[in-house]
Amino acid sequence: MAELHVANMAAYLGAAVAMGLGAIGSGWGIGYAGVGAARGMAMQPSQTSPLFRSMLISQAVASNPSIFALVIAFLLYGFGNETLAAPDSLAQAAAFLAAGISVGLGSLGSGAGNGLVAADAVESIARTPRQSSKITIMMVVGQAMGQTPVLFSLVVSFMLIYSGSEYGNYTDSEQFLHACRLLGMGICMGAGALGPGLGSSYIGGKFCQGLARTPDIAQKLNNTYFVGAGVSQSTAIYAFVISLILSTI
Amino acid sequence: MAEIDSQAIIKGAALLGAGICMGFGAIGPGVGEGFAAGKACEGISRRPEEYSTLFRTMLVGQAVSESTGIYSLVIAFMLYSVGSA
Repeated sequence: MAELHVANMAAYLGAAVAMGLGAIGSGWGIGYAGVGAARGMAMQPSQTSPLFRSMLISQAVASNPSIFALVIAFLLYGFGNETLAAPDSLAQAAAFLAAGISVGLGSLGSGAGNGLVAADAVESIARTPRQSSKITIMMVVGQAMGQTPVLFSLVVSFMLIYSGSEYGNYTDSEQFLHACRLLGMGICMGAGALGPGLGSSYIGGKFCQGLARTPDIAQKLNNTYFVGAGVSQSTAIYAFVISLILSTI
Repeated sequence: MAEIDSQAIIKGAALLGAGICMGFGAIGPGVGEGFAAGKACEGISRRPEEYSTLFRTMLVGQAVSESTGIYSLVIAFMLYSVGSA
């Protein structure tokens, strides 16, 4: 049988998974921000230009997760073209595929979540236009909070991509063991970032709506928001811990 | 790839299982806790005088929702101890 370059194949596959899943999340999120802006403009046609500005800001931020996915996809594509040190290593192949899964699923959650924040925030700017600048700032804070899980995913993806220096020396049993370990690491962080990315973003949207409705209790809403988002992200941190532990064997 | 011994298969499956367990176990609590806190924010903005009750309810609800995430964490550690032995 001709020598099979599984590692190169897995690098291409990982690039496709990363960018494909990442584009779903951010694409949906950016579109949903537009839904919020359209609703707001229907409510307050006089506020079209501030609403349009806030929508563009939120869409620019919401495309961040897909840019992370794009970076990883480019790196993996480069590794696919390269002549690798161990092209038939199963562990190396699993590392590339897992890197794609990790950042792909992570940016699916955070990208879609950023759209939730943006839609609620832009709509609430239409409701109380004089709070516009404050709500825009808190919208960006909420989106940044929603992007924390995808940053964990990105870190794990980089670790996976640059992990393999001695994979070529392993025996077949070790190849299989490490392939399972690396795949587990990627799935753990990818899926683990999906839920918290969506959940903590949902809070951000409701927080912006609350600020618009009753601006005088901003302090209480702030407390609730940060405590709630922090607790919601605890599971992403568990997943990150398990990924780091899996990387140390 | 014919000479994979059974120990490697068992350990590999345990490590892959640990990853899948914690990964999928984190989806539910993440979304659920976010939903609880989002609705708490909405409730507080509607009835600011009920702030302490709503905040307490949110924390208790999130803690209960967190329990399944912690189950996943425990199982993942157990599987890890099998896989790394």
